[in-house]
Amino acid sequence: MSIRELALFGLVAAGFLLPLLWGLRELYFPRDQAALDIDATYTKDDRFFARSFRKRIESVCGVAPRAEGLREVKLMRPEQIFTTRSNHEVTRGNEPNAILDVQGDLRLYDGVKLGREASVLGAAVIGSDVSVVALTATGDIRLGERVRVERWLDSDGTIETAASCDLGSRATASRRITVATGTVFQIMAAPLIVAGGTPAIAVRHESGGELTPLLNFVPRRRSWIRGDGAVICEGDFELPEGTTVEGDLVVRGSVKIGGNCRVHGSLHADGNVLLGARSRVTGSVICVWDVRLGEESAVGEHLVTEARARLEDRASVGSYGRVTTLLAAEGVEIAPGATIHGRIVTMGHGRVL
Amino acid sequence: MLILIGKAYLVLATAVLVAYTIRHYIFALNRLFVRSRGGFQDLQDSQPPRVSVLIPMHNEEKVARNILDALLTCDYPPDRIEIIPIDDRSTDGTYEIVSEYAARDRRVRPLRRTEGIGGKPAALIDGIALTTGDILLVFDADYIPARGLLREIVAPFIDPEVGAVMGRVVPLNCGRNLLTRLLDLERSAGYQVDQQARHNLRLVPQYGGTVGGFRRSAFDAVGGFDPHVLAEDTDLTFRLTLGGWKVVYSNRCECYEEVPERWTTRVRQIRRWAIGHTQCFFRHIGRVFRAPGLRFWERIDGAMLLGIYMIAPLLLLALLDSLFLFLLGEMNLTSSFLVLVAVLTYNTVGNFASFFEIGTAVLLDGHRQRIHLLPFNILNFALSIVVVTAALIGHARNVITKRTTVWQKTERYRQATPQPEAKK
Repeated sequence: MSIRELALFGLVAAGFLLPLLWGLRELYFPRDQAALDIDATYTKDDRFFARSFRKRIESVCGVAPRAEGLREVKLMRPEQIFTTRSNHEVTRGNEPNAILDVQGDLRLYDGVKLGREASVLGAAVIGSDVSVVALTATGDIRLGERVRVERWLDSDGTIETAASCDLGSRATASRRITVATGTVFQIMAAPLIVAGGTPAIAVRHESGGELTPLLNFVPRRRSWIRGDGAVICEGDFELPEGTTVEGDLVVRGSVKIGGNCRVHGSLHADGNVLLGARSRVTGSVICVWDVRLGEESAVGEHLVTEARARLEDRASVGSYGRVTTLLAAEGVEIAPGATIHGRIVTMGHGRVL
Repeated sequence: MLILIGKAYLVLATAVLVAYTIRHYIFALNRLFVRSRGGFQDLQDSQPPRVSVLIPMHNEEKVARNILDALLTCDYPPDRIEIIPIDDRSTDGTYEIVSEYAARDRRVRPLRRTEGIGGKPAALIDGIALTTGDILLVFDADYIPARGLLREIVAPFIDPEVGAVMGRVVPLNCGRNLLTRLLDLERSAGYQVDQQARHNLRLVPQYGGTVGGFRRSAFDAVGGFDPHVLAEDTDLTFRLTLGGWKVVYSNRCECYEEVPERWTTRVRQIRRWAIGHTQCFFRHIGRVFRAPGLRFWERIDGAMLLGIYMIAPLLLLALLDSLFLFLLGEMNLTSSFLVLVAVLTYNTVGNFASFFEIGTAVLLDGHRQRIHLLPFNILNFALSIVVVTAALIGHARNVITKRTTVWQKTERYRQATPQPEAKK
């Protein structure tokens, strides 16, 4: 074999080997061979941030009752925690530049800008135009007008807001959240969430009358019955006012349900869903586009949309004693009097009308 | 005439390969540049449906404790779950382990099979007969579900459209050797890109027979499993899809599994998948184009999913065909500059479409260095072509001679309670 042929052979061999060189290095001297990390202990908990914050306070300052004073501690980084043994008040201009650990009630006066998180072993009353980073309280939390929460708000009791508050990324309570007009949010979780400040009332429905087969209302040529009895409708679907039907419904278009109807089952729509006034779906409603619940209408279980949801006056989602979810990916608007049992989640803007 | 047939076949094979290439790129680009479709991951329900978890086991003493421990510590309400390990004629200590757990916890209700057809579909049929749940979840015995996984898998079933849910499989032993590292890349692409893109594009995500579940009423309505089908998961995917249900993929439902550490085990696994998938191809391909309620692109994707294992013999035959034509002097491709450009472009872009998917998946998973192993996937690719082709020929022979194709179990390698390998 001549030198020229040898060189050519070497060149071809190098051409083949070149792409493999880095791979061989990674194979024999691995830098990235760990399995994708899965948190084996992860479980969903809306109040995770607040609970975790309280645990951190306890781990560095001890369990309550704690001694009063300013502590230098190390949380994620070196921090200061200011602990009080009784009720505490903060006025504008006197805000502490430390994490607040109040072992009593907390009152923040109008215009206070609290730059750090606060843990309260009692109730919290927050004045108008206050700004807080995050706050957890074992008692009730009352917010004045235009309060701005940067991250989260959590209560073991109730949360009640005045008009035009911003609840940050998460507001959670163990009993009830009452949100006033103009309040914006992303996630709210509580056994009962009431918009507009009016007390929750049971939503009454006029009976839809005789039970009618769903098939009577779908276009025959574009619909069929699935193996489990659910009706598949290939176009839009409309239910006349005052009708009562039974069974699950999957619609490849939009759905319009008239007033005073009852649907005993769940509903899926590839388009929009409009639920008329005083109508009720006993199961869940899942839709791809917008969903609108008319006045006093109700969805018995979950409401999920990939777009926006709007709940009119006294509309409700969920039922007492059960945590259900209103999940609206792009945004949600709720009118005064609307109630949600469980959670409202949106990746867009949530707003009380 | 023979030359004409040869050329026509080559054109057909090229057209099919180009179609699959386009599909790969659409999926990868969808994952890179399009926001994922919202799922049900943020859903919570204090009253989730009653579930039955089925775990087919055949000689699984190395892994049985891990999965039972994991399931018993999950956060699913204890009064709404039953765990049914199905001991399918094990000859090791599997049944003793399962019995020990059953004695300790009422949620575990084991079944012991000592006769009948072997294999996972047959075991599942017997297991399902014992279940009382509305939702049936299936895990292979080498899986280790995280504490909150069951709730995540069950969440999409609030949608009456959903018949089955599939989660993401993550290799736990990925750092063992070249094979496990290549399989890790393959799994990443298959789930992070392929399945998620099909979910995003409302096509046909596949129920994979583990880390997933199906609705009991839907399962009954489509007639349950067929014990003679080796890929009962693909079969169920299509029977549900053709029956009016949808299969959804949930990327957040991640679960560790053990991938084969030996090439011989891998070969057996591919053989089983290839034969099972091909059985499904002949069962369902006609109905994919005729069934009501499917969108145009669902039919196309469904057909391509069914035909995925036919690509290997198609490609191998095309290579032989082109060699045959070349030897006969009929492959004067290089005489045309445009054809040459087309061939080179396809070699650069087309043949590596699936590799582009893998690269995309690695990027999305936040890994970096492991992508250097990508060229070694040529080995995996070449092996698959040969094994799948051989498997399909063998299966065709079995069909003609009316011999039963038997289920071949995947070997386990686990020694002790596993932990994800430390990051380096």
